Amino acid sequence: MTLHISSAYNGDLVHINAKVVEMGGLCEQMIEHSNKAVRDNNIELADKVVLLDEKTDDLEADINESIIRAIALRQPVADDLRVLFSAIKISGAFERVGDLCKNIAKRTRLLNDDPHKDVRKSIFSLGEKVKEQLTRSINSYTQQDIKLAKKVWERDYEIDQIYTDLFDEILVYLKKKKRVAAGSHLMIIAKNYERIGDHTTHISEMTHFAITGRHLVAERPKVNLPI
Amino acid sequence: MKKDGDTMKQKLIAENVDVFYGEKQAINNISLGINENTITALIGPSGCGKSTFLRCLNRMNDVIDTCKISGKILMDNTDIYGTEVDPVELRAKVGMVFQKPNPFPKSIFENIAYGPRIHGLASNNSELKDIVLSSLEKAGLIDEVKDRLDDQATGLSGGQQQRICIARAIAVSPEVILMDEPCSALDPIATAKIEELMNELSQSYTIVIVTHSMQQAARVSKKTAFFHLGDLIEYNDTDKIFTQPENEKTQDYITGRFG
Ligand SMILES: Nc1ncnc2c1ncn2[C@@H]1O[C@H](COP(=O)(O)OP(=O)(O)OP(=O)(O)O)[C@@H](O)[C@H]1O
Ligand SMILES: [Mg+2]
Repeated sequence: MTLHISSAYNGDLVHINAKVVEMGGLCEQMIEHSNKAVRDNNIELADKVVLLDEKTDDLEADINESIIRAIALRQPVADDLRVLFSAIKISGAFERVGDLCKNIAKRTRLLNDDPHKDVRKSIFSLGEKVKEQLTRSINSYTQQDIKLAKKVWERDYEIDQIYTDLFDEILVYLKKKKRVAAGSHLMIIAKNYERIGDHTTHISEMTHFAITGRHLVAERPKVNLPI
Repeated sequence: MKKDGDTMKQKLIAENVDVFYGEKQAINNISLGINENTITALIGPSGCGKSTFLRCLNRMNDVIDTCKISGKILMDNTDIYGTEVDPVELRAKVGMVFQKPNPFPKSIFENIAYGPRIHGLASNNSELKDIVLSSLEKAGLIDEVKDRLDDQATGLSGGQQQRICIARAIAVSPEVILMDEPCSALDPIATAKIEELMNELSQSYTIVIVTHSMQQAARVSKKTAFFHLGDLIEYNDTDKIFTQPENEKTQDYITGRFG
Protein backbone atom coordinates (compact mmCIF):
# COMPACT_ATOMS: atom_id res chain seq x y z
CA MET A 1 0.00 0.00 0.00
CA THR A 2 1.18 3.50 -0.82
CA LEU A 3 2.33 5.49 2.18
CA HIS A 4 0.86 8.82 3.17
CA ILE A 5 2.86 11.93 2.40
CA SER A 6 2.68 12.74 6.12
CA SER A 7 5.05 10.39 7.92
CA ALA A 8 3.47 11.33 11.24
CA TYR A 9 0.11 10.10 9.95
CA ASN A 10 1.68 6.85 8.79
CA GLY A 11 3.26 6.53 12.22
CA ASP A 12 -0.10 7.00 13.96
CA LEU A 13 -1.75 4.34 11.80
CA VAL A 14 1.13 1.91 12.34
CA HIS A 15 0.90 2.49 16.10
CA ILE A 16 -2.84 1.85 16.18
CA ASN A 17 -2.51 -1.28 14.09
CA ALA A 18 0.29 -2.61 16.29
CA LYS A 19 -1.82 -2.12 19.41
CA VAL A 20 -4.80 -3.91 17.86
CA VAL A 21 -2.55 -6.84 16.92
CA GLU A 22 -1.11 -6.85 20.43
CA MET A 23 -4.62 -7.02 21.89
CA GLY A 24 -5.37 -9.96 19.61
CA GLY A 25 -2.28 -11.75 20.86
CA LEU A 26 -3.35 -11.24 24.46
CA CYS A 27 -6.79 -12.61 23.68
CA GLU A 28 -5.27 -15.73 22.16
CA GLN A 29 -3.23 -16.27 25.31
CA MET A 30 -6.27 -15.71 27.47
CA ILE A 31 -8.45 -18.20 25.68
CA GLU A 32 -5.68 -20.74 25.65
CA HIS A 33 -5.28 -20.39 29.43
CA SER A 34 -9.05 -20.42 29.99
CA ASN A 35 -9.42 -23.61 28.01
CA LYS A 36 -6.78 -25.41 30.03
CA ALA A 37 -8.01 -23.92 33.29
CA VAL A 38 -11.45 -25.38 32.59
CA ARG A 39 -10.19 -28.76 31.46
CA ASP A 40 -7.58 -29.29 34.20
CA ASN A 41 -9.16 -27.28 36.97
CA ASN A 42 -5.99 -25.17 36.90
CA ILE A 43 -6.42 -22.21 39.25
CA GLU A 44 -3.01 -20.77 38.49
CA LEU A 45 -3.90 -20.36 34.81
CA ALA A 46 -7.27 -18.90 35.76
CA ASP A 47 -5.45 -16.23 37.79
CA LYS A 48 -3.23 -15.42 34.82
CA VAL A 49 -6.31 -14.79 32.69
CA VAL A 50 -7.60 -12.24 35.18
CA LEU A 51 -4.28 -10.38 35.04
CA LEU A 52 -4.17 -10.42 31.23
CA ASP A 53 -7.66 -8.94 31.07
CA GLU A 54 -6.40 -5.76 32.73
CA LYS A 55 -3.82 -5.42 30.00
CA THR A 56 -6.41 -5.68 27.25
CA ASP A 57 -8.48 -2.98 28.94
CA ASP A 58 -5.46 -0.67 29.02
CA LEU A 59 -4.68 -1.36 25.40
CA GLU A 60 -8.24 -0.63 24.33
CA ALA A 61 -8.12 2.72 26.13
CA ASP A 62 -4.83 3.52 24.39
CA ILE A 63 -6.27 2.57 20.99
CA ASN A 64 -9.41 4.64 21.51
CA GLU A 65 -7.37 7.67 22.45
CA SER A 66 -5.12 7.33 19.42
CA ILE A 67 -8.08 6.92 17.10
CA ILE A 68 -9.90 9.96 18.47
CA ARG A 69 -6.73 11.95 17.98
CA ALA A 70 -6.30 10.70 14.42
CA ILE A 71 -9.90 11.54 13.55
CA ALA A 72 -9.61 15.03 15.02
CA LEU A 73 -6.23 15.86 13.52
CA ARG A 74 -6.26 14.00 10.20
CA GLN A 75 -9.92 13.88 9.18
CA PRO A 76 -9.46 10.45 7.64
CA VAL A 77 -11.48 9.39 4.60
CA ALA A 78 -11.86 6.34 2.36
CA ASP A 79 -9.77 3.33 3.44
CA ASP A 80 -8.14 5.29 6.27
CA LEU A 81 -11.55 6.01 7.72
CA ARG A 82 -12.66 2.41 7.33
CA VAL A 83 -9.45 1.13 8.92
CA LEU A 84 -9.89 3.39 11.95
CA PHE A 85 -13.59 2.61 12.27
CA SER A 86 -12.79 -1.10 12.17
CA ALA A 87 -9.98 -0.69 14.67
CA ILE A 88 -12.50 0.80 17.11
CA LYS A 89 -14.89 -2.10 16.56
CA ILE A 90 -12.22 -4.81 16.59
CA SER A 91 -10.48 -3.55 19.71
CA GLY A 92 -13.93 -3.34 21.31
CA ALA A 93 -14.51 -6.97 20.36
CA PHE A 94 -11.15 -7.99 21.84
CA GLU A 95 -12.02 -6.18 25.02
CA ARG A 96 -15.26 -8.18 25.25
CA VAL A 97 -13.37 -11.41 24.52
CA GLY A 98 -11.07 -10.53 27.42
CA ASP A 99 -14.01 -9.95 29.74
CA LEU A 100 -15.60 -13.23 28.76
CA CYS A 101 -12.35 -15.16 29.28
CA LYS A 102 -12.01 -13.52 32.66
CA ASN A 103 -15.53 -14.54 33.53
CA ILE A 104 -14.76 -18.13 32.48
CA ALA A 105 -11.63 -18.09 34.61
CA LYS A 106 -13.46 -16.78 37.67
CA ARG A 107 -16.16 -19.40 37.39
CA THR A 108 -13.51 -22.09 36.96
CA ARG A 109 -12.14 -21.14 40.34
CA LEU A 110 -15.53 -21.97 41.82
CA LEU A 111 -15.54 -25.47 40.35
CA ASN A 112 -12.77 -26.71 42.55
CA ASP A 113 -13.74 -30.36 42.81
CA ASP A 114 -13.92 -32.85 40.05
CA PRO A 115 -17.10 -34.79 39.46
CA HIS A 116 -17.69 -32.78 36.25
CA LYS A 117 -14.72 -34.18 34.38
CA ASP A 118 -16.67 -35.17 31.28
CA VAL A 119 -18.51 -31.89 31.04
CA ARG A 120 -15.22 -30.04 31.44
CA LYS A 121 -13.81 -32.05 28.56
CA SER A 122 -16.74 -31.17 26.35
CA ILE A 123 -16.43 -27.50 27.21
CA PHE A 124 -12.72 -27.74 26.46
CA SER A 125 -13.40 -28.93 22.95
CA LEU A 126 -15.85 -26.07 22.43
CA GLY A 127 -13.14 -23.73 23.77
CA GLU A 128 -10.59 -25.15 21.34
CA LYS A 129 -12.94 -24.63 18.44
CA VAL A 130 -13.54 -21.05 19.52
CA LYS A 131 -9.81 -20.51 19.94
CA GLU A 132 -9.26 -21.72 16.41
CA GLN A 133 -11.85 -19.25 15.10
CA LEU A 134 -10.29 -16.46 17.15
CA THR A 135 -6.84 -17.20 15.76
CA ARG A 136 -8.19 -17.28 12.24
CA SER A 137 -10.03 -13.99 12.69
CA ILE A 138 -6.84 -12.40 14.05
CA ASN A 139 -4.88 -13.80 11.11
CA SER A 140 -7.43 -12.42 8.70
CA TYR A 141 -6.85 -9.01 10.28
CA THR A 142 -3.05 -9.11 10.45
CA GLN A 143 -2.67 -10.60 6.97
CA GLN A 144 -5.50 -8.49 5.50
CA ASP A 145 -6.95 -11.69 4.11
CA ILE A 146 -10.56 -11.21 3.03
CA LYS A 147 -10.99 -14.85 2.01
CA LEU A 148 -10.03 -16.02 5.46
CA ALA A 149 -12.27 -13.36 7.03
CA LYS A 150 -15.20 -14.66 5.05
CA LYS A 151 -14.45 -18.25 6.07
CA VAL A 152 -14.44 -17.35 9.75
CA TRP A 153 -17.69 -15.52 9.30
CA GLU A 154 -19.29 -18.46 7.51
CA ARG A 155 -18.22 -21.00 10.10
CA ASP A 156 -19.70 -19.45 13.21
CA TYR A 157 -22.60 -21.90 12.97
CA GLU A 158 -20.24 -24.76 13.83
CA ILE A 159 -19.65 -23.20 17.23
CA ASP A 160 -23.35 -22.63 17.66
CA GLN A 161 -23.92 -26.30 16.86
CA ILE A 162 -21.39 -27.51 19.43
CA TYR A 163 -22.80 -25.13 22.00
CA THR A 164 -26.34 -26.37 21.43
CA ASP A 165 -25.25 -29.98 22.00
CA LEU A 166 -23.26 -28.99 25.05
CA PHE A 167 -26.24 -27.18 26.50
CA ASP A 168 -28.22 -30.41 26.42
CA GLU A 169 -25.33 -32.33 27.91
CA ILE A 170 -25.06 -29.93 30.84
CA LEU A 171 -28.79 -30.01 31.35
CA VAL A 172 -28.74 -33.79 31.67
CA TYR A 173 -25.80 -33.55 34.02
CA LEU A 174 -27.59 -30.98 36.15
CA LYS A 175 -30.69 -33.13 36.45
CA LYS A 176 -28.86 -36.37 37.11
CA LYS A 177 -26.30 -35.21 39.64
CA LYS A 178 -28.40 -32.46 41.17
CA ARG A 179 -25.37 -30.17 41.11
CA VAL A 180 -27.25 -26.97 40.50
CA ALA A 181 -24.53 -24.45 41.43
CA ALA A 182 -21.76 -26.15 39.47
CA GLY A 183 -24.11 -26.89 36.60
CA SER A 184 -25.09 -23.23 36.36
CA HIS A 185 -21.48 -22.11 36.23
CA LEU A 186 -20.72 -24.67 33.54
CA MET A 187 -23.72 -23.49 31.58
CA ILE A 188 -22.58 -19.89 31.69
CA ILE A 189 -19.02 -20.86 30.83
CA ALA A 190 -20.32 -22.63 27.73
CA LYS A 191 -22.44 -19.61 26.84
CA ASN A 192 -19.42 -17.33 27.24
CA TYR A 193 -17.50 -19.39 24.70
CA GLU A 194 -20.39 -19.16 22.31
CA ARG A 195 -20.35 -15.38 22.67
CA ILE A 196 -16.60 -15.22 22.09
CA GLY A 197 -17.39 -17.02 18.85
CA ASP A 198 -19.78 -14.21 17.94
CA HIS A 199 -17.04 -11.66 18.56
CA THR A 200 -14.64 -13.53 16.26
CA THR A 201 -17.29 -13.27 13.55
CA HIS A 202 -17.54 -9.55 14.17
CA ILE A 203 -13.76 -9.14 13.96
CA SER A 204 -13.81 -10.82 10.56
CA GLU A 205 -16.74 -8.73 9.39
CA MET A 206 -14.92 -5.55 10.34
CA THR A 207 -11.71 -6.73 8.71
CA HIS A 208 -13.61 -7.42 5.52
CA PHE A 209 -15.25 -3.99 5.69
CA ALA A 210 -11.95 -2.18 6.27
CA ILE A 211 -10.43 -3.80 3.22
CA THR A 212 -13.34 -3.75 0.78
CA GLY A 213 -15.75 -1.09 2.03
CA ARG A 214 -18.49 -3.70 1.75
CA HIS A 215 -20.35 -5.48 4.52
CA LEU A 216 -20.66 -9.24 4.60
CA VAL A 217 -24.41 -9.61 4.35
CA ALA A 218 -25.20 -12.71 2.33
CA GLU A 219 -27.12 -15.51 4.00
CA ARG A 220 -25.02 -17.69 6.19
CA PRO A 221 -25.91 -20.84 8.09
CA LYS A 222 -27.59 -20.15 11.41
CA VAL A 223 -28.39 -22.42 14.31
CA ASN A 224 -31.25 -21.65 16.65
CA LEU A 225 -29.68 -21.36 20.07
CA PRO A 226 -31.55 -22.65 23.14
CA ILE A 227 -31.07 -19.21 24.71
CA MET B 1 -28.94 4.54 0.91
CA LYS B 2 -30.99 6.85 -1.29
CA LYS B 3 -29.42 7.75 -4.58
CA ASP B 4 -31.63 10.58 -5.76
CA GLY B 5 -28.72 12.13 -7.68
CA ASP B 6 -29.06 9.64 -10.47
CA THR B 7 -32.64 10.39 -11.41
CA MET B 8 -32.15 14.14 -11.41
CA LYS B 9 -32.23 16.34 -14.46
CA GLN B 10 -28.83 17.13 -15.88
CA LYS B 11 -28.36 20.85 -16.28
CA LEU B 12 -25.02 20.66 -18.04
CA ILE B 13 -23.61 17.82 -20.07
CA ALA B 14 -20.03 17.68 -21.28
CA GLU B 15 -19.42 15.24 -24.11
CA ASN B 16 -15.92 14.21 -25.17
CA VAL B 17 -14.39 17.55 -24.29
CA ASP B 18 -10.73 18.13 -25.20
CA VAL B 19 -8.97 21.38 -24.38
CA PHE B 20 -5.62 22.49 -25.78
CA TYR B 21 -3.47 25.47 -24.87
CA GLY B 22 -1.44 25.73 -28.08
CA GLU B 23 0.04 22.26 -28.57
CA LYS B 24 -0.43 21.23 -24.99
CA GLN B 25 -3.53 19.23 -24.13
CA ALA B 26 -4.98 20.19 -20.73
CA ILE B 27 -8.22 18.15 -20.76
CA ASN B 28 -8.59 14.71 -22.32
CA ASN B 29 -11.91 13.57 -23.67
CA ILE B 30 -14.04 14.40 -20.66
CA SER B 31 -17.70 13.43 -20.51
CA LEU B 32 -19.61 14.45 -17.43
CA GLY B 33 -23.21 15.32 -16.56
CA ILE B 34 -23.95 17.93 -13.90
CA ASN B 35 -27.21 17.62 -12.03
CA GLU B 36 -29.57 20.55 -11.76
CA ASN B 37 -29.87 22.32 -8.39
CA THR B 38 -27.06 20.28 -6.97
CA ILE B 39 -23.57 21.12 -5.78
CA THR B 40 -20.89 19.30 -7.74
CA ALA B 41 -17.27 19.44 -6.58
CA LEU B 42 -14.26 19.17 -8.86
CA ILE B 43 -11.14 17.98 -7.06
CA GLY B 44 -7.66 16.93 -8.11
CA PRO B 45 -4.02 17.90 -7.89
CA SER B 46 -2.78 21.26 -9.08
CA GLY B 47 -2.63 21.50 -12.85
CA CYS B 48 -5.02 18.61 -13.49
CA GLY B 49 -7.42 20.84 -15.42
CA LYS B 50 -10.17 21.70 -12.92
CA SER B 51 -10.19 25.43 -13.68
CA THR B 52 -9.85 24.74 -17.39
CA PHE B 53 -12.89 22.48 -17.30
CA LEU B 54 -14.85 24.95 -15.18
CA ARG B 55 -14.06 27.76 -17.61
CA CYS B 56 -15.39 25.64 -20.48
CA LEU B 57 -18.81 25.73 -18.84
CA ASN B 58 -19.27 29.46 -19.39
CA ARG B 59 -16.86 29.94 -22.29
CA MET B 60 -14.38 31.88 -20.20
CA ASN B 61 -11.69 30.06 -22.19
CA ASP B 62 -12.79 31.99 -25.29
CA VAL B 63 -10.78 34.96 -24.09
CA ILE B 64 -7.54 32.93 -24.04
CA ASP B 65 -6.09 33.11 -27.57
CA THR B 66 -4.18 29.83 -27.50
CA CYS B 67 -7.08 27.88 -26.04
CA LYS B 68 -8.92 25.42 -28.33
CA ILE B 69 -11.88 23.32 -27.31
CA SER B 70 -13.45 20.37 -29.05
CA GLY B 71 -16.36 18.18 -28.03
CA LYS B 72 -19.72 19.38 -26.87
CA ILE B 73 -21.08 21.17 -23.84
CA LEU B 74 -24.83 21.19 -23.57
CA MET B 75 -26.85 23.33 -21.23
CA ASP B 76 -30.52 22.34 -21.17
CA ASN B 77 -29.75 20.44 -24.38
CA THR B 78 -28.40 23.48 -26.20
CA ASP B 79 -24.77 23.46 -27.33
CA ILE B 80 -23.30 26.47 -25.56
CA TYR B 81 -20.61 26.70 -28.23
CA GLY B 82 -23.29 26.92 -30.94
CA THR B 83 -23.08 29.91 -33.31
CA GLU B 84 -26.34 31.40 -32.09
CA VAL B 85 -25.18 31.57 -28.48
CA ASP B 86 -23.95 34.96 -27.26
CA PRO B 87 -21.11 34.33 -24.78
CA VAL B 88 -21.95 37.47 -22.80
CA GLU B 89 -25.51 36.30 -22.27
CA LEU B 90 -24.26 32.83 -21.49
CA ARG B 91 -22.03 34.23 -18.75
CA ALA B 92 -25.04 35.92 -17.18
CA LYS B 93 -26.76 32.53 -17.05
CA VAL B 94 -23.61 30.80 -15.89
CA GLY B 95 -22.03 33.08 -13.33
CA MET B 96 -18.60 32.73 -11.84
CA VAL B 97 -16.99 33.39 -8.47
CA PHE B 98 -13.21 33.37 -8.30
CA GLN B 99 -10.59 32.34 -5.80
CA LYS B 100 -9.72 35.89 -4.77
CA PRO B 101 -12.69 38.14 -4.02
CA ASN B 102 -12.57 40.69 -6.82
CA PRO B 103 -15.14 43.41 -6.18
CA PHE B 104 -14.93 46.45 -8.47
CA PRO B 105 -13.39 49.53 -6.81
CA LYS B 106 -16.85 51.01 -6.50
CA SER B 107 -19.60 51.20 -3.91
CA ILE B 108 -21.30 48.09 -2.60
CA PHE B 109 -24.47 49.13 -4.41
CA GLU B 110 -22.70 49.67 -7.73
CA ASN B 111 -20.96 46.31 -7.53
CA ILE B 112 -24.29 44.51 -7.45
CA ALA B 113 -26.16 46.94 -9.75
CA TYR B 114 -23.59 46.73 -12.55
CA GLY B 115 -24.71 43.39 -14.03
CA PRO B 116 -28.47 43.98 -13.94
CA ARG B 117 -27.88 47.37 -15.50
CA ILE B 118 -25.84 46.18 -18.49
CA HIS B 119 -28.22 43.27 -19.05
CA GLY B 120 -31.19 45.63 -18.81
CA LEU B 121 -32.87 43.65 -16.05
CA ALA B 122 -34.40 46.69 -14.33
CA SER B 123 -36.63 49.25 -15.97
CA ASN B 124 -36.18 51.91 -13.31
CA ASN B 125 -34.14 52.79 -10.26
CA SER B 126 -36.53 51.33 -7.77
CA GLU B 127 -36.49 47.95 -9.55
CA LEU B 128 -32.72 48.09 -9.62
CA LYS B 129 -32.63 48.75 -5.91
CA ASP B 130 -34.92 45.78 -5.31
CA ILE B 131 -32.58 43.52 -7.27
CA VAL B 132 -29.56 44.78 -5.33
CA LEU B 133 -31.24 44.31 -1.97
CA SER B 134 -32.63 40.87 -2.75
CA SER B 135 -29.25 39.72 -4.10
CA LEU B 136 -27.55 40.89 -0.90
CA GLU B 137 -30.26 39.14 1.04
CA LYS B 138 -29.73 35.87 -0.84
CA ALA B 139 -26.00 36.20 -0.33
CA GLY B 140 -26.60 36.46 3.42
CA LEU B 141 -25.00 39.89 3.54
CA ILE B 142 -27.90 42.29 3.87
CA ASP B 143 -27.73 42.84 7.64
CA GLU B 144 -24.03 43.53 7.49
CA VAL B 145 -24.15 46.12 4.70
CA LYS B 146 -27.65 47.60 4.48
CA ASP B 147 -26.61 50.82 6.21
CA ARG B 148 -23.48 51.31 4.12
CA LEU B 149 -24.47 50.56 0.55
CA ASP B 150 -22.52 53.60 -0.66
CA ASP B 151 -19.28 52.53 1.00
CA GLN B 152 -16.47 51.11 -1.11
CA ALA B 153 -16.83 47.32 -1.49
CA THR B 154 -13.06 46.98 -1.29
CA GLY B 155 -13.25 48.16 2.32
CA LEU B 156 -15.13 45.03 3.40
CA SER B 157 -13.51 41.96 4.93
CA GLY B 158 -12.40 39.14 2.61
CA GLY B 159 -15.35 36.96 3.52
CA GLN B 160 -17.77 39.84 2.99
CA GLN B 161 -16.12 40.69 -0.33
CA GLN B 162 -16.55 37.10 -1.45
CA ARG B 163 -20.23 37.24 -0.57
CA ILE B 164 -20.44 40.53 -2.54
CA CYS B 165 -19.06 38.59 -5.50
CA ILE B 166 -21.68 35.90 -4.97
CA ALA B 167 -24.41 38.57 -4.70
CA ARG B 168 -23.04 40.09 -7.91
CA ALA B 169 -23.30 36.73 -9.65
CA ILE B 170 -26.83 36.18 -8.34
CA ALA B 171 -28.00 39.66 -9.36
CA VAL B 172 -28.19 38.75 -13.04
CA SER B 173 -30.46 35.76 -12.28
CA PRO B 174 -28.08 33.00 -13.29
CA GLU B 175 -29.02 29.34 -13.50
CA VAL B 176 -25.57 28.03 -12.80
CA ILE B 177 -22.88 29.39 -10.49
CA LEU B 178 -19.28 28.29 -11.01
CA MET B 179 -16.91 28.76 -8.10
CA ASP B 180 -13.17 28.36 -8.40
CA GLU B 181 -11.71 27.86 -4.91
CA PRO B 182 -14.03 30.48 -3.45
CA CYS B 183 -12.91 30.01 0.16
CA SER B 184 -9.17 29.63 -0.18
CA ALA B 185 -8.57 33.11 1.21
CA LEU B 186 -11.14 32.87 4.01
CA ASP B 187 -11.07 31.88 7.66
CA PRO B 188 -13.17 28.93 8.95
CA ILE B 189 -16.12 31.10 9.98
CA ALA B 190 -16.28 33.01 6.71
CA THR B 191 -15.85 29.66 4.95
CA ALA B 192 -18.70 28.12 6.92
CA LYS B 193 -20.92 31.07 5.97
CA ILE B 194 -20.13 30.67 2.26
CA GLU B 195 -20.74 26.92 2.50
CA GLU B 196 -24.06 27.44 4.22
CA LEU B 197 -24.94 30.00 1.59
CA MET B 198 -24.03 27.53 -1.18
CA ASN B 199 -26.25 24.96 0.45
CA GLU B 200 -29.21 27.37 0.46
CA LEU B 201 -28.51 28.57 -3.08
CA SER B 202 -28.36 25.00 -4.37
CA GLN B 203 -32.14 24.80 -3.99
CA SER B 204 -32.51 27.14 -6.95
CA TYR B 205 -29.12 27.15 -8.65
CA THR B 206 -26.80 24.54 -10.07
CA ILE B 207 -23.41 25.01 -8.44
CA VAL B 208 -20.05 23.69 -9.54
CA ILE B 209 -17.16 24.27 -7.15
CA VAL B 210 -13.46 23.67 -7.58
CA THR B 211 -11.80 23.13 -4.24
CA HIS B 212 -8.48 21.95 -2.87
CA SER B 213 -10.05 21.17 0.47
CA MET B 214 -11.21 17.58 0.63
CA GLN B 215 -13.21 18.44 3.71
CA GLN B 216 -14.95 21.23 1.85
CA ALA B 217 -15.84 18.96 -1.06
CA ALA B 218 -17.13 16.40 1.43
CA ARG B 219 -19.11 18.98 3.41
CA VAL B 220 -20.85 20.83 0.61
CA SER B 221 -21.18 18.68 -2.47
CA LYS B 222 -23.53 15.94 -3.49
CA LYS B 223 -21.39 14.75 -6.37
CA THR B 224 -17.63 14.77 -6.69
CA ALA B 225 -15.46 14.47 -9.78
CA PHE B 226 -11.80 13.60 -9.40
CA PHE B 227 -9.47 14.86 -12.15
CA HIS B 228 -5.90 13.78 -12.70
CA LEU B 229 -3.55 14.95 -15.47
CA GLY B 230 -6.47 16.14 -17.57
CA ASP B 231 -8.43 12.88 -17.19
CA LEU B 232 -11.66 12.40 -15.31
CA ILE B 233 -10.72 9.48 -13.07
CA GLU B 234 -13.84 9.02 -10.99
CA TYR B 235 -17.22 10.69 -10.71
CA ASN B 236 -19.72 9.58 -8.12
CA ASP B 237 -21.84 10.52 -5.12
CA THR B 238 -19.66 12.42 -2.69
CA ASP B 239 -20.35 10.07 0.20
CA LYS B 240 -19.27 7.15 -1.96
CA ILE B 241 -16.08 8.89 -3.06
CA PHE B 242 -15.09 9.62 0.54
CA THR B 243 -15.96 6.27 2.06
CA GLN B 244 -15.45 3.79 -0.73
CA PRO B 245 -13.73 5.24 -3.79
CA GLU B 246 -13.47 2.83 -6.67
CA ASN B 247 -10.23 4.01 -8.17
CA GLU B 248 -6.93 3.71 -6.37
CA LYS B 249 -5.75 7.08 -7.67
CA THR B 250 -8.81 8.71 -6.15
CA GLN B 251 -8.15 7.00 -2.86
CA ASP B 252 -4.47 7.94 -2.83
CA TYR B 253 -5.33 11.57 -3.55
CA ILE B 254 -8.10 12.10 -1.02
CA THR B 255 -6.20 10.32 1.74
CA GLY B 256 -3.02 12.31 1.14
CA ARG B 257 -0.88 9.56 -0.36
CA PHE B 258 -0.09 11.10 -3.73
CA GLY B 259 3.68 10.80 -4.08
N1 LIG C 1 -3.81 30.24 -20.04
C1 LIG C 1 -3.09 29.11 -20.14
N2 LIG C 1 -2.13 28.97 -21.07
C2 LIG C 1 -1.41 27.85 -21.19
N3 LIG C 1 -1.55 26.77 -20.39
C3 LIG C 1 -2.48 26.84 -19.43
C4 LIG C 1 -3.30 28.00 -19.24
N4 LIG C 1 -4.13 27.76 -18.21
C5 LIG C 1 -3.85 26.53 -17.76
N5 LIG C 1 -2.87 25.96 -18.49
C6 LIG C 1 -2.31 24.61 -18.30
O1 LIG C 1 -3.36 23.66 -18.36
C7 LIG C 1 -3.22 22.69 -17.35
C8 LIG C 1 -4.44 22.70 -16.45
O2 LIG C 1 -4.46 23.93 -15.74
P1 LIG C 1 -5.65 24.35 -14.79
O3 LIG C 1 -5.43 25.76 -14.40
O4 LIG C 1 -6.93 24.01 -15.44
O5 LIG C 1 -5.39 23.37 -13.57
P2 LIG C 1 -6.11 23.32 -12.14
O6 LIG C 1 -6.52 21.93 -11.93
O7 LIG C 1 -7.13 24.38 -12.04
O8 LIG C 1 -4.88 23.64 -11.17
P3 LIG C 1 -4.87 24.47 -9.77
O9 LIG C 1 -5.42 23.51 -8.77
O10 LIG C 1 -3.42 24.71 -9.54
O11 LIG C 1 -5.68 25.69 -9.93
C9 LIG C 1 -1.94 23.00 -16.63
O12 LIG C 1 -0.91 22.22 -17.17
C10 LIG C 1 -1.71 24.47 -16.93
O13 LIG C 1 -0.34 24.77 -16.94
MG1 LIG D 1 -7.34 26.13 -10.84
